[in-house]
This record gives sequence, structure tokens and C-alpha cells, in this order.
Amino acid sequence: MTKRRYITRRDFLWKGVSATLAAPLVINSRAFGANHRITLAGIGMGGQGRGDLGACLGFSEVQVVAVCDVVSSHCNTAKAMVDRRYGNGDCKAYNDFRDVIARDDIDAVLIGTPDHWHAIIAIEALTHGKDVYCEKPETLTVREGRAMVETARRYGRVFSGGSQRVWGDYNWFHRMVRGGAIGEARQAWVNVGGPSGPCYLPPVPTPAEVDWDLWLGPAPWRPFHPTLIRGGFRPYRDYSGGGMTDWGCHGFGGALFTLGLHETGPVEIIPPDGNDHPRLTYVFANGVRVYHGGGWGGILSFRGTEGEIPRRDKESKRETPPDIYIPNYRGRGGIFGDFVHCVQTRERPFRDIEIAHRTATHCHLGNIAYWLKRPLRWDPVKEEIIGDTEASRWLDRPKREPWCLS
Amino acid sequence: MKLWIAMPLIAMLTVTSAAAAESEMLEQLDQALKEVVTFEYGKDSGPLVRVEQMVVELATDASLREAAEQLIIQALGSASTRDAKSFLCRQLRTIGTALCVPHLEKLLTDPQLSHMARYALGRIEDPAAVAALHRALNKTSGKLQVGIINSLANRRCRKAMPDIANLLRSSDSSVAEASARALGRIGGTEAVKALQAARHGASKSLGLRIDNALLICAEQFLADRRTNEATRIYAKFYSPEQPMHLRLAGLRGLVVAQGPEAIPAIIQAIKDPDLKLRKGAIGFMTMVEAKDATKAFATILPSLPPDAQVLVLRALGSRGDTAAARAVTAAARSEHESVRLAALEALGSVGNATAALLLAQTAATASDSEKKVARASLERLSNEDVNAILILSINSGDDRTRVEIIRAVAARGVTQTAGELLKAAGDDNESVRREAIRALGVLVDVSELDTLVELAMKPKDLKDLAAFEQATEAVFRRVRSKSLQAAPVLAALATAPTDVKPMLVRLLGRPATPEALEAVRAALKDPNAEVRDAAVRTLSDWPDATPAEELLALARTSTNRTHKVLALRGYVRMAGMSKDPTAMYVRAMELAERPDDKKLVLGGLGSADSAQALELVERYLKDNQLQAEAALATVQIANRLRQNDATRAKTALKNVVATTKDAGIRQQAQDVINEMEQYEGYILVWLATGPYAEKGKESRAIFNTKFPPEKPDAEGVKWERLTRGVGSWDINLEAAFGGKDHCAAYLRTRIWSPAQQDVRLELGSDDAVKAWLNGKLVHTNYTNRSLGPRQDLMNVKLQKGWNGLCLKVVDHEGGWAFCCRVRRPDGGVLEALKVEAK
Repeated sequence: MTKRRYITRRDFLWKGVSATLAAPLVINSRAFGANHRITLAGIGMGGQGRGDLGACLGFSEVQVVAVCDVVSSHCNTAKAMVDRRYGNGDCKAYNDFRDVIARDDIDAVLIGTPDHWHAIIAIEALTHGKDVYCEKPETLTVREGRAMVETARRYGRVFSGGSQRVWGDYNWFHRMVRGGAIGEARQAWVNVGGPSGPCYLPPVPTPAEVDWDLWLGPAPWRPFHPTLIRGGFRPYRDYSGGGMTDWGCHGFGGALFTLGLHETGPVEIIPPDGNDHPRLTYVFANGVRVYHGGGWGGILSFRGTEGEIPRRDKESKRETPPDIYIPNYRGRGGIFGDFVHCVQTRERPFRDIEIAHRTATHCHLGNIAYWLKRPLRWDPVKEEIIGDTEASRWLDRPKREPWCLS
Repeated sequence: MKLWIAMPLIAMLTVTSAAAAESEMLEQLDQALKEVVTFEYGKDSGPLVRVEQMVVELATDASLREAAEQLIIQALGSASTRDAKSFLCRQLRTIGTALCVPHLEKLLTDPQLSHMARYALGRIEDPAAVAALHRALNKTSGKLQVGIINSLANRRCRKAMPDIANLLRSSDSSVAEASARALGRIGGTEAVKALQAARHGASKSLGLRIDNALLICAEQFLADRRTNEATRIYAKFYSPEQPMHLRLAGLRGLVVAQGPEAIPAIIQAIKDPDLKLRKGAIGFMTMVEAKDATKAFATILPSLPPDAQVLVLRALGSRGDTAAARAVTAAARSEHESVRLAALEALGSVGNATAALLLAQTAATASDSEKKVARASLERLSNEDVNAILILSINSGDDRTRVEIIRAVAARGVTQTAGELLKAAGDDNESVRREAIRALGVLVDVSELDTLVELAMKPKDLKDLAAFEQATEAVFRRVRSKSLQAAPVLAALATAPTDVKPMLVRLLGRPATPEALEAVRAALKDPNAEVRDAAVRTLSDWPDATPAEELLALARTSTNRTHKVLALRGYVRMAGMSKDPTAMYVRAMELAERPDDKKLVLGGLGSADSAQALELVERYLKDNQLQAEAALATVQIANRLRQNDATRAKTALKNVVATTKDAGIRQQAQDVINEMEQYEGYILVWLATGPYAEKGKESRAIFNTKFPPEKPDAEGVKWERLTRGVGSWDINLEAAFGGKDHCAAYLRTRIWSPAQQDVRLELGSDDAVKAWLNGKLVHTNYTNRSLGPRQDLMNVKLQKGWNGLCLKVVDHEGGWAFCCRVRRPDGGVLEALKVEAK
């Protein structure tokens, strides 16, 4: 597993950054050879998907050519957004993502569907040679994440996860901790929602505009309920990991990046037991502990050998972080700009799928410990639960026919 | 399920007291399962929740697991609905062993349940599960057969490979494609042969699956160290007749399989006219770790078109190998700006001490874009000799380059350069001097703060004082002790030349210690006007409200017009920090003479929340000069006041809508009114009891525990009228019961309806919620979420007269709140409802 390397401010300033980490890009994208714009399709055009689509439309390097959703009103609204932006009616609207991905003239897809669809659509797109930007939580299960990484690598595609907050919102923490403001970081608290659970919503007649079978896709069958298609699917295990993966991908993603643990995983996950472990506790091989809930800040709190952040006193809460360079987005325009840049240069994005998968796995393991109410031991290299075959069953879920990975 | 079926199982376990407890648990499971077998979505899910929890616990109990599994199997046999059977399959996924396999196998051919049977079988480790899936392969067709193939693939069932290989030629394209995928997952020489044989003449979609499967087989060969077999597959894909994404997959595979041997192939691809192949190949440059690779890639740079050079330079930068330094340095002198920029950027990763000076010179002389990149690279350079050469160059050479070098040592945190910087801070060149002073501000620590202040006492040019002031403030930001910040400044003030004193007085406002305040107060009486001016400005900017009364006195008595204004502004600012700001604003308003000063006070009043403040600002709504500020303040105060006095707040807001000429503020007022009206109807009168918790139990268990308020015959439950945490539409239970986690509160109210009628109950909760209407459970939702209005909607029937409504709101972690209102089934307002907390 990756060893934690504690980087002091001086280390950072004197030794510079690791050679594998690129500097901020300042080069105009036209220099990358091409007047060719990235042709992009948006799949999953509910609220979040359309939000992402709006960001895409702000990039002159990108031409959105298609949108897709199983809810026709979502699809029509997205098409109208695109057509309004370009002043024409060229954007094509689809119900079935397979029809979009089969188009040879599309370079990249933006996936904004509910979580249970992410892996299948992403892998299908990668297999067709497309680059992928996928909303977080990128995965519903651990095995999905590994399959996404393997497929992205197999085809040499660019695959960015979608947690914009890891850098965008939490870079103050990264600078403070990596800059040595609390000495050696030993503990982190991440305040996000809890795990998902079973869904017993009552049946409601399916409206004509909804392709319910396709919305469910790989998930176990159940009757329609409008909450699920209006973004209310997150509390339910068949479609999402709940708050643990929703804001968890942001919060844990931020904590793990700050601690330099974003390319590995915990070795032990202990659910709350009312005694020694009042909170879900992740233990890493280097002794660092990450807790679900608690802390004293908002979403993130850190404690190290020489202090903690956020500081408790009001004035220090506004403390200016050390002026150090931490590799982050390339290109212009946040996480999506990073993706656009990497599609052009074939570099790895900031939220490369390996890192996104590691964060999501961290969240999934927490969920499994919550669901089964027992501690888990985890091998972050083999990505296996140690000595608990029943718990291992939760690392994957057979998908409803005909859907599968790869 | 009939209880007698389970009885023999249960009877075996009733020997000891421990066994009695175990027996009780199985009995509870049996009871719950009886309710589950007729479950359909829309019915009470309580038994399902109980079963799921028991199954999780029983699965870890070696003595009970088998008996529990048997009970579930029997329930599966007697279940009468699809929903019940699906649920029971889920439980077998958790607890199932070889025991349940035959029962699940029967469901594999059932179109409605095949998936849920696989859902369990696909994850049961016993070989019997895979064998059952294999037996079902040829008993199914279409989608079901695809599902079986997928599950066999996930289990990598090699025994099934011949059967799956036969299905590659199925007339059902979805079956053929699933077979191709499965063969890739199972892998091995036989699978490759079958896939390759089927590839010729395959449809486009089947071909795509076969290609992917072959690539997966190649990966498996690599993992098994069968490099030649992998290479043969990759080489076939990396041929010009293949689609580009497969060519790239082939090339990447060759790079992984062959390592440095693949360098010529990468280079050839980088030189290819096809842009996608070129870019893809450049992306693979970082995958070859050999030192020689860097040299080989660097060598081709000059022969490439500019766009390819840019990407290759970035890739060389990512490799971080100094072997590329010479080629990258040469590229930094390219005639193409984009190439120069990429080279300058790459130098930050691969450059050496020589590159440091080149970067400094470029930063000093080149265009803005190159300057920016060169500076960033100079900061990042990691070569050990870089700091040494930068220190040596601070006080020699071209002045513009020296400025960049000083900037770089500051950015790199080169602390041992203080001596050179102190010298540079007295340099004849103004730019060098200023940059050196700035760098000192970045690099010196608290022990050297007095040296910096002493240097400021004897500036080469008085214009340098601003730079010294900024540098000292920069050091302050790194020193947490206020007294350590203030000490050298106070010491210097005693002997400082008059020209320097204003700067020192201003600096004292940062640490703002009592000693610093005394010194600033003394400076108010200084004979020098500039020192006095600095003292007034510093006091008016003081970070806390300690000098508020002095400022008020100054505002009243000063003969200096500027000082009067400054003092008044400082006083108004400090009012905002006060616990009783309204009284201070009233005093400030009495002193305010100019409209601008009055506007300032009105702006401050906007942050108050008292009726007195509202009254004060409303006086100015008819003043033409101050109307806009007064209206804005009115809206701000009313928005806060509405929590406590909605009627007064609404009256004030309506007054703003009626009188203000500013359309934006009018709209803001209307927005607040709309928001208040939008949340009308939320029930805010409740009796409450809680918090209820049990040690060691988390929220889900709390949710399912029947605490006394749920028991009709419970005694001693203390219901109290909820007064804390009552918002305009929501109830914050943390305010009422404290910030506890994993606990429940019960809330009770009653609703009077003029007639029996269908209504919609609109609930929002943080986190889980149950609702009873007239004693009947009408809603249950275990969830973990933030509060929002209308999160759960349910249609219920109100009886004529009074109806008892009871809620249980369970907190997981973090926030704890709820909201509730009753509307017409279509969401409209219900007339003539009354609510009271009894």
C-alpha cells in the first residue's frame, strides 16, 4: 500500500513537488493541436446532471451534441439548454444511453445518472473509446470501482470523477495540514450523512413520461415511486450509499487527500459500539484515524501532533494558509476544466477514477460496517475484506438482467 | 409460515438459559417472517426491518445461523407475493449457505425472481451455488439466460466455459454478447481460441464485446506472466486497420507487456500524422520507467510539430527525469510561444541549477505569460543545488533578474538567506530593495522581528516604509502571540524618528494588546499631526470594541472634521460587535451630521434584531436622501425579527413595499413576505418528550425500539410544551433537547377538522421519522438526511373533530429537526383546521 509521507512546509518548499505531479497549466488549449472541439454527450439529465451540463456549456473547447435521460421531461429540458446556448436545434435527445454511446462522433460523456447506473454506463462508454466525466459517488459497490479503473486503463481513456469540493472547497485544509500547521496529522473527523438502507416506498402508477424499467436498470425490481426520480433515491441501498457516499465522497475525499491517503485505504473499519468507538472509525496502516461524524468544524476537522484545525478561536479560523503549491486542477475552470484539459493532453485528471474509486470504497466500507454492525479488516492492496466472507458479499451485487459490468 | 414447521427447530435449542434466549430470538424471527410472507410494497414494512436486523445478527452466530436460514427458506416456500420472495432472497444473500441453494435454484427460471435468486446465489461462496447457476444455463433463454451467464462470469466458472462458448453463436444477440463478455472474464487459452474463432463475421456489437474480452484475456495473461500470449493479442489490435480506440488499447498493452522494448513503437506513434494516435501515445510516455526512455523521448522533440512538442514536453515534465533537462532547456528557446511555455513549465520538474538562472532571467524579461510560468517553475525546482545558486545570485548581476531571484527565495522558503536579503534591503535599486523587504516579511521568524523593525527605523528611502509595514504585518500573521508581536514595535516607538512613528502606531493596531492601546492613546496627544492622525485611524480600526467610548468622545469633541468622521465610523463598526448594538446606534445617529454618516449608521442597524432598531430605521423611510438605506435595514431587521414577532415584521415589510422607490429592495421585502407566507400552515405547537436513547444502540435500533410513548399503557411519560427550537416552519430538536446523537424524541399535537376528509400530511425530518394519526401508524421512514420541507408526503384521512397526531423523530448524527403540516391532497391550503398542543 501507499505509505503516508508527511510533508512539512519546508519539505514542500525545498524539495518541490513530486515529479509525477504536474504544475498548474497556463498554456492555452489551442496549443494542444487542434481546432477540434470535444464532442460530448450528457447522460442522466436530472437536476445534478443538468447542473453539470451547464458547466460544460461554458467551455468553448466543448460541443455538446446529445443528451439522454429515461425521463423525457429531463431530456427535453436539457436539450433546450443546449440549443439555447448554441442558438440552433442540433442537440439530439435520447432515451437509451446505448444509442448515445454507439455514436462514433462523440468523444466524451458526462454521466449524471443516479449512482446505480454509473459503472455500467461509464464502462460501456470507455469500451467504445470515449472519455468519461462521472458525477460522484462514482460507484455503488467496490467491485464496480475496480472494473471502472481497469477499463479506463485498458483503453487509455481519461476518466474524471466528479467531486468538485475535494479541492474547490477544502483546499484551505490541504494547505494548512500539508503546510505543517498542525504538525503530523493523526486524526480527522468527517461530518456527512449516514448509510443508506432498504427502500419500502409505496407503489405509485408510473407516469407515461418515465421509462421505469430503464431507470431501475441493474437494480432489483420494485414499483415506481416519484421520489426516486426526483433526486430522492439517495437514502436507498439499491441505488446509493446514502449520505456516506453522497457528501462522503466530498468529505472523505477531502480528508484523505489532505492526509495523503487518497490512493490507499484503511486497514480496519470499526462501527460505533457505544464504548471505545462512539463513531465509525477508520484505522490506517500508519495509525492515522478517520472518524465519521463529530469534530468541531463544519464538514472537516483535523488534529495533529502540534494542534488542530479549524482553530477553536474565532480569529484563527480565518488563518491564512501557508503559501505552498499542491498539485490540483489543470486547465481553466475547476474540475470540469481539468477534465477538458486532460482530454486534450491525455494526462490524468485530478480526480482520476483510481482516486475517486478509492474514496468511494472508503465510504462503501463504512456502510458495510454500519449495515453488519461489526468491525471489518481490509486489505487495501488486494481490495479484499479479510476473514469475513459474509461481509465480502457486500463488495459486489449481481445486477438485474441483462445488465452487467464490462 | 405455519408455526408448527418451525417448532422442531426451535425445540432443539431450548435447553439452557442461553439457549432460551436463542430460542426467543428464533421465535421472534419466525413471528416476523409470518408477517413478511404476504408483504407487498405499500404495506407495513416494520416486519421486514425487524427481519433484516435479526438476520444480520443471526448470520454471525454459528449456533443459530442454520436454524435461521431454515426459517427463511421455509418462509420463501410459503411466501405468496413477489415482493416477499424478493425480500427473502435478499436475506439469503446475507445468511445463505449451501442449504438454501436448491430453493433458490428453483427461482432461476422464474422471470420475476430470477434476478433475486442470482442476487443471493451470485454471492454465496459454496460451489453448490455456482453449480446451480450452471445447471440453469440451458434451462433459460433470452434475458434470464443473459443473467445466468453474467453470474457465471462473475464467479469465473471455468466448468461452464464450453457451454458458454457454444452460446457465442446464439441467434439471440444479447446472449452471444453476454457469452463473449463471460469468456473474457473467465479467460485462458481456450477462451481466447473461442473468441477469436467467433470474431470473424461477428456483428459490430458482438465484435466489440469480443475485442474487449480478448483484451481482458490479455490482461489475465500478463498477470499470470504469460507475456508472449498477451503480446500476440495486443499486437493484433495495434494494427492500422483497427479502429483508433482499439489501436490505442493495443499500443498501451504492448507498453505494459514489453516495457522499454515498446519505446520505438511509442515514438513511431508520436510521429504519426493521426492526432488521436499521437496524443494517445504521448499519454503512454510516462508508463515506461527506464532512464533510456527519457533520452529517447527527448531526442525526438525537435523533429515534432509544435503541438506534439507541447504534449511531449508536458509528458517529460511528468516523468520528472533530469535526463531531459538539456532538451527541455533547448525547447525553452523555441520560436513557438506554446512550446516555450510548455518547456518552461517542464523545467520546473526536470531542471537543475542552470535552469534556475534561465528561469529567473526569463521571469525578468519575457512576456507576461512566460514570466508567470517561469516563476512557478522556479518555485518548484527541486534540485539540491538550486537554493545555493539562488542565494549566491541575490546580490550580483542584472537588477531585474535579482528581483526574480529574491522573489523565488521567498517563495521557496530559503530561510538561511537572511544576511543576503538584509544587504539587498539597503540596495541602491528601488525594485531590488522593495522585493528584499517583502522577502524578509516572508522569511524572518519572531526571533528576527526586532531586526526587521530596526531596519525600518533607518529606511534608505521614506517610501520604503510602506513595504516595511507590510513585511512586519506578514511576520505578525505567523506569530500567534500578540505580546511577541507588539514588543519590538513598542520598544522602537520610544526612540523612533518622527517620520517612522505613524507606521509604528498603525502596526500596534494589529496585536491590539492593552500596552499597544495605551501607546496609541498616548499618540493621540503627540505634537506631530501625522502621528495623531495615525493614532485616530488606528483606534477607529481597533479589532475589538475597547476604545468605543473614546471614539464616541472624539466624534463629539474633535475639532478635526476628518477625525470626527473617522471616530464615528469606528464607533458604528464597534456597535456591530456589541451585545446591545441598538443603544450604540441610537447614540451614533444623534451625532451623525452628514447624510453619508447617517447611511453608515443605518447600514449598521440592519444587523440588529430588535423592535427598537426597527422603529429607528422606519423613521427614515420617508427621508428622500436616506430612504434606500433605511428600507434595506428595515428588510434585514424584519427578516430576523419574524422569528419572534411575525406580525410586526410583516407590517414593516409591507410598509417598505408600499413606500420604497428602489425596485430591488422592494423585491427583497416582497421575497421575505412570500417566504413567510410560503411556510404558513406549518404546525409549530407541540408537546414533546425525550430524548430517548439506549447505550450502545445506534439510530436504526432506536428507530425500532418502542419507548414508553409508543406504549398505550405506559406511565410516567412527561410531555411538555415545546418552546425552544421553534422556527418559522421547522422545529430544531437540538435546541430543545441538546446536541445528542442516536436518540429519539416524540412529539404530539391535535388537529381539529370540520368534517371527515382526505388530507395530505407533509413531513420533513432530520433524520428518521414515524407518524401515528389517531393511534395508527401512517408513516415510517428510516433515513439519514438534512431537513427540508415536504420530504415525505402521505395521504391520510382526518376524522371530524379532534385528531391526535404523534411523531417520532430519530437523530442519527449531526442535526435533529422536523417540520409538519397538513394540506389538501392536491397540496392546497386547508381552511378551518385548528391545531392545539394538548
